[in-house]
Amino acid sequence: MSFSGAYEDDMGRFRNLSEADIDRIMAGRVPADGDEFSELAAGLAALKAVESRGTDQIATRHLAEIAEASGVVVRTPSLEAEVVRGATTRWRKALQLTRSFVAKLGIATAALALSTAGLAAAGVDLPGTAAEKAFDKVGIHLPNQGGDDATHGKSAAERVHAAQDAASEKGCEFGQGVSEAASANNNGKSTKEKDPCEDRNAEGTDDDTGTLEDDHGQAGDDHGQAGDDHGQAGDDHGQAGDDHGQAGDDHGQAGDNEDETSADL
Amino acid sequence: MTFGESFELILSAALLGREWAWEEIYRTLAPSVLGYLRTRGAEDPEDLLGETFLQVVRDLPGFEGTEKDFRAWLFTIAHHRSLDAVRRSERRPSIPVENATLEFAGPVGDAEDDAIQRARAAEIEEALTGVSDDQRDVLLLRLFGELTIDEIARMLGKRPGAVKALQRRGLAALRKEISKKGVTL
Repeated sequence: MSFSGAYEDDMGRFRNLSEADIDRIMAGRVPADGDEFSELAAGLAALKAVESRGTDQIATRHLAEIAEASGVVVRTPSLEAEVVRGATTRWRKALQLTRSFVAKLGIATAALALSTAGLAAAGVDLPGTAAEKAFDKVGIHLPNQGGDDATHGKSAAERVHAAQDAASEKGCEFGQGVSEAASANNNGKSTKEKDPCEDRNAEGTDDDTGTLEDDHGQAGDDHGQAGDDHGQAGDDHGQAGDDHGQAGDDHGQAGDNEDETSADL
Repeated sequence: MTFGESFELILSAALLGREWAWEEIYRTLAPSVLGYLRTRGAEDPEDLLGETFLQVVRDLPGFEGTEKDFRAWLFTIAHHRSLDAVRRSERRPSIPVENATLEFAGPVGDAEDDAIQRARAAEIEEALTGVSDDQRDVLLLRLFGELTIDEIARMLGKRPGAVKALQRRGLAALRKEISKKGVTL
């Protein structure tokens, strides 16, 4: 670029202008003590005014395009998306809480079921029959909760009462039945080391069997008394099952003693 | 024209896709951007203006700043669009549109005043052909964009001192061109 002649003069004049004066010229105003720049300032202002016209004719088209584009932008990450994200987060939190509650409930139920099954496996007689029935419904058979169908699903106390009610025999068999009902919980573990009734029978056959019926008649009377005693102790039958068995055994011995007495007579 | 205190409200509404906000932005800033694109010699300044605003719509969620920053950002986009258009036009034969641009602008207000204004504008526009591209860019960004020296320096990747020098030399060259023609309006 050449810096000769009038251009160098102009450059000299512009070098002396302050930044504020330059700003005034660019804004279309004449700087202080700068009338020689009035034509330039007016020309720049005219250029800006004239060339900036005409947007009205194209505004409708451009604004329609902008509206369409801004609608697309709103549906992608923007403020509105943040608002929606906030609402989603609230729903998600609620859902998580619900899921957490359901999960905890499920874990608690599973733990309860496992502990119940564990107790049953350990030989503990479960209270009532609800738990056993619940397991039965889902096809699981709890161990150590009674073997046969008749007693299955009953507690030990219920079984003892059932044995008392159903027992037609008295004496040794009665005590033995009650004892078996009480100890039925110990599946597979026989608490009966020896049959007391067999012992009694064995002793009875050693004596004169011909007088056994009569003797039993007397023994039966005594048994009646013992039965009364049983009535008094009825509430403790579950606990006293084994004692009954022993009582039955004693009855047998008592009967034998009477036989000896009558033989002497 | 400026938005003033309502700028943040308008910008937030524009982010939410509110048409009134975009119309406000367009009506306020589009004339200056169109003037910049036309004076810079863009082949189809109206289309470039539309492209510029569409890019603003797309990139607005990532924008942060004041009204001045927004204005500088808008003109940066327009400037780059203009450069792209020039590159495209260099690859194919161009059709002069100077007169068509002035005709399209149309008369505003008093016919005599308007005629004088258009004659002055044409004179400066012709004088701009005698300045360097860098000087022209600085002068037009100062004139239409009302950007500061620092803003233009950032935009063009130059030092502020260099931009100041380009501005003074550009003004001096314009004055020289006007003086050479000896036209006094």
